[in-house]
Amino acid sequence: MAAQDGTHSAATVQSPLAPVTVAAYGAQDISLASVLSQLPAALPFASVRIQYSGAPGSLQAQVSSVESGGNLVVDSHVQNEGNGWAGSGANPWHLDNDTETILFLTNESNQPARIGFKVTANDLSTPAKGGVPYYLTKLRLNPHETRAIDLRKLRDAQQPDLKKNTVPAAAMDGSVEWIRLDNVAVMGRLMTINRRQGMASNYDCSSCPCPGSYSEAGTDLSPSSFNLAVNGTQSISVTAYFENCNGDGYYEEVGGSFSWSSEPTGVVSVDSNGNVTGVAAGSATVVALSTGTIYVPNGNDCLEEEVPEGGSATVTVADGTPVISSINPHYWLVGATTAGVIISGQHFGTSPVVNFSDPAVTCIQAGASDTQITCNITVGVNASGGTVNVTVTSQGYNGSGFIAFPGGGSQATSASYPANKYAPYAAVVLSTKSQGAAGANLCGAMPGWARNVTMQLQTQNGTPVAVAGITMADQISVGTPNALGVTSAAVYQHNTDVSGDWPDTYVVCSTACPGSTGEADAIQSWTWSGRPLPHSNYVVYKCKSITVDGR
Amino acid sequence: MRSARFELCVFAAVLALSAAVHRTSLGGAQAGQSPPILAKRVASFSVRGVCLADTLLTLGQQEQVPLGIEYVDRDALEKPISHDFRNATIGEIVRALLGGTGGYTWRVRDGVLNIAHQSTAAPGNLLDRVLPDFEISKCSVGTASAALYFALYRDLHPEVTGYAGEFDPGNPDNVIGPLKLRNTPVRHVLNLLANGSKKRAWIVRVPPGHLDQLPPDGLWTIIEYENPPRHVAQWLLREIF
Repeated sequence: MAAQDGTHSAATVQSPLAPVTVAAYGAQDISLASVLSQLPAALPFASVRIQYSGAPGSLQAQVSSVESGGNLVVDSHVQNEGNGWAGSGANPWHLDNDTETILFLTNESNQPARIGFKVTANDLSTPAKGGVPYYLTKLRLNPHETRAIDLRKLRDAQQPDLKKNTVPAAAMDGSVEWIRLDNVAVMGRLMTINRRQGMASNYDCSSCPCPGSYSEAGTDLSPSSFNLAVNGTQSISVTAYFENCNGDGYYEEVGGSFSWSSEPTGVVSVDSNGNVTGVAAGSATVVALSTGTIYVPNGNDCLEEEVPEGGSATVTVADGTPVISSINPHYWLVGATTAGVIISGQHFGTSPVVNFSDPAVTCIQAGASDTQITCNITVGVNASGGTVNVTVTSQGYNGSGFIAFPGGGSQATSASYPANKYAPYAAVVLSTKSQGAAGANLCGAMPGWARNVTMQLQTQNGTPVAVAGITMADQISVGTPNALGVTSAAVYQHNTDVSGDWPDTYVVCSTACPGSTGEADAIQSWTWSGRPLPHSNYVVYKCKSITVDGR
Repeated sequence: MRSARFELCVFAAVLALSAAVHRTSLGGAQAGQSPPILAKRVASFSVRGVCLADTLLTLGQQEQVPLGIEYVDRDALEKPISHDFRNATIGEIVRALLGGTGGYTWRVRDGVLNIAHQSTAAPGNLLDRVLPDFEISKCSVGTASAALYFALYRDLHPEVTGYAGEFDPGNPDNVIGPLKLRNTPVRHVLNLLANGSKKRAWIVRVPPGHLDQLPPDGLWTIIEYENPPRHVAQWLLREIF
């Protein structure tokens, strides 16, 4: 038995018989048994096609199907193709313990045939509200295929159609309607069989001569509105609506014959089969376009008029939960503004909010996108060093607010990431590069001493403030003792390198040298980028040594 | 065995220049014949929203023109300007940058484009002070700059019996000297520092009208040309004002 919903089709085999001659006004019986017996398996049903010479209608025929038990015979009148086949039909069906109803559809053409189909069961409610149609929307016949649709199986499957309806499980009577959707020859015959009574009846009512005409009014995309996550997918089906000559409607899922597009671009992608993938947050309209046909009877022909066919669906790509993947640089100086800090990640939305666990830290945004925020981060001068958590909160996209993922439910709108505040505390002698008597370069005629060192900016716990370009300026105040009789001079600014280091030369020149063993003590106070450094150095100048904080 | 006592810079007197032999080319209000620096053609020079001081330093870095800037006011350090020059000479660019700002003068001295102001011509400008004797051995530019500071300090305060401090010796690869100069203005020494084998700039670090005083943290600073150019205006603004 062939599948009923059109998603499966039976293999089609054509077996020609040898030509026979029927005399004028004569009759001849032709047994099909010899042909059917040549097939590898018994057939539950078949179509019979007779070609004859002579004028149309000059031959009449009837097919008698005799069940093997010999207690059921079904006679079917043979129609002429061309003007005799049933292009559509509305026929009664009945099911009970002894009665079956089967619709046979035969595609008589060499091309596929789409079929509009619906079953309406008698309304069993009291008072009756009218039957609700049940649609098959994927019914397609291959060339020369005969399809048998068993109404009992269709009813008992209880598979919802596009309208979420089923044939009521208890339904026993109703009508079944079908119509061609393409202008090709299709024969239809509804057969009701009561084996216990040995009775069969069949119908081939033809209600409309032309295929169903496409109607834009009932065509829609399903789902017509939905939400997606970024990278989430949703398949859209197009259900086209057709009307027969009596205004009865049928639906057909069109499949991949539409051209798909979306507007604006960049929010979703759509493949040729209507599969939509979320690309970036936002809203888009997905459009399916094709060409439909309207049929108008014209004698024995059907005039065709092409019309635009298609529809649209709206899709909103939802906000994802923000994720911070990196912050660069992720260390910021206390009391300073670190410009151009890049917070990278995803799902930030169009107007993200950046917050910090330390209120002394602020971000002036210099730009934001769904994946990157540029911050000029200022750490208040009174902030302590240490870790600070950065939180990015999405506010949705394009002012539309937060859009929940498909399926709803609550979700986080922010993400956190640790960063660090550096609080420069001291300028420390990291190493001595050289020292010795200062020459005339620095002291002129006076004797003196010079010490070349590498200084490093450190936090209170000794961590290097490894930031280049910090301007270090100092002031040296000579106090007591001052056995060398020196004054303060030549304090220059320095700039840290990437390690937070800078070269420094301490120098003392005195007429008391080189003979004096006394010393001149000084306090060296620092500023970094204009802000005072908490720790001051204690510098001891002697004729043959210079120490900083005892080093 | 080598003595433990050594000189940080070794004396080698190889250069003796007199202020009297300085070649000078005038620009701005006193513009005369264009020397090679001002005639140098620049294919393209653009700045966007950069103050005048950083604009000049960017031009110097891009074209490797040594600069000496002895006047900076708040506008020069704060006010953003934007310019696009195509196929213009250094002179035309400088004229466009400084010509309309009022009071600026510029001239090429010692191969250095010196940018001054009418007010800096006042008596007492320490850049005009003539040092009777300035000698350094081959040393870093930072050390040479400090040596010039100490020499000026000693010249201004011959009574001192000593001084103590510290300075930035700078990149040890940027060396200059030996120099042995007699009766030389401070500006000329600075120009020599700026116009070494590697070009750089010097810029004063005092507000207008204060060139007659030597502050403890110096009267000038040396700006090494880096790529990309280092913007110093914000720092100078903080230091000066």
